[in-house]
Amino acid sequence: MKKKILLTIFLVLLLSFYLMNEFLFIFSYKYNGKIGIIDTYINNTYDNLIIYESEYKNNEYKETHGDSLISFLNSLEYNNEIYYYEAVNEDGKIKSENIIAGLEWMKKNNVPRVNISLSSKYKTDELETWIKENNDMTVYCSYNNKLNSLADYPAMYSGVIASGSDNKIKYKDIDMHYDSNKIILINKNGLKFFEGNSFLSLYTMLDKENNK
Amino acid sequence: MKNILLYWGWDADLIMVPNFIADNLSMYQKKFDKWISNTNNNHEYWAKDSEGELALSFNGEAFVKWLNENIIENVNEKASFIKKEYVPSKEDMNLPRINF
Repeated sequence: MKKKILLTIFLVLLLSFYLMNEFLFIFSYKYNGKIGIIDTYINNTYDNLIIYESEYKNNEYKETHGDSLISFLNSLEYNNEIYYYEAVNEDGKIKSENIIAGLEWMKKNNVPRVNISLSSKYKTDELETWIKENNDMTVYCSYNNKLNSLADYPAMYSGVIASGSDNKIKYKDIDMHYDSNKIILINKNGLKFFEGNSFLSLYTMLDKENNK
Repeated sequence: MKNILLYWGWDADLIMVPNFIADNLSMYQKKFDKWISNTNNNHEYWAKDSEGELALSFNGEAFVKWLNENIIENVNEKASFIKKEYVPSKEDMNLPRINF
């Protein structure tokens, strides 16, 4: 009997250790600050979204990357307005000038923190300079989910707080390196699973603001 | 010749390459990564970050140029762009692809 109890305790500990290493557990918490997101396309409608849309239309994908970010925030019981700027221009392209225009729009709307979960291998001095010069706004980014970390912008720009989970990434001092990007979010409605560095970046943003 | 996709997270480049490259894409991606990130290689894709440190900055042109100048010997089988910087369809996402 004693052996069985010890074995059970051992197995529970082993399982807990595995789960803690494999997943990031997030419990919902109230956060009411104003936040902005610059991302790729929203297909669904949300009550708390203040949106700057582009002319681009894509009906092929039912739930987009933008949708999944909003879903993550709303699952965290984030209950303030989300300022959303569509990074994709009318030609379906993401150019640094779109992102700068989005940041300017956020600034005009007094949004102090903005998440950009986009990744490019192409470095643009204009965007890096904008972020550096407008340090009253905090920009959060995610590193690319793929292992290739040769170049990854805007996450690699100085002044940007970037989040990732891969050990091969050359993290900056201000970045957040998580053990995993598999997230189990626990809220009053139960459990939700999210996977990807984009969600880590949003989590970093809310967590850092909450701990200020 | 086969079509492959260079996927950049949102948009992509559709390029045509010789079969031996499309069939061993992962190997050529690794070779390209090694070449482009080797600081001894004086190529045009080096940039400086705001701290003055060496950084890379490239797009699909870099990969196509590298293939044509370093890998593909037969002039009739050079890699070329079919479509640049477009949003790939679900069907195109099933092509052999490199996730950059």
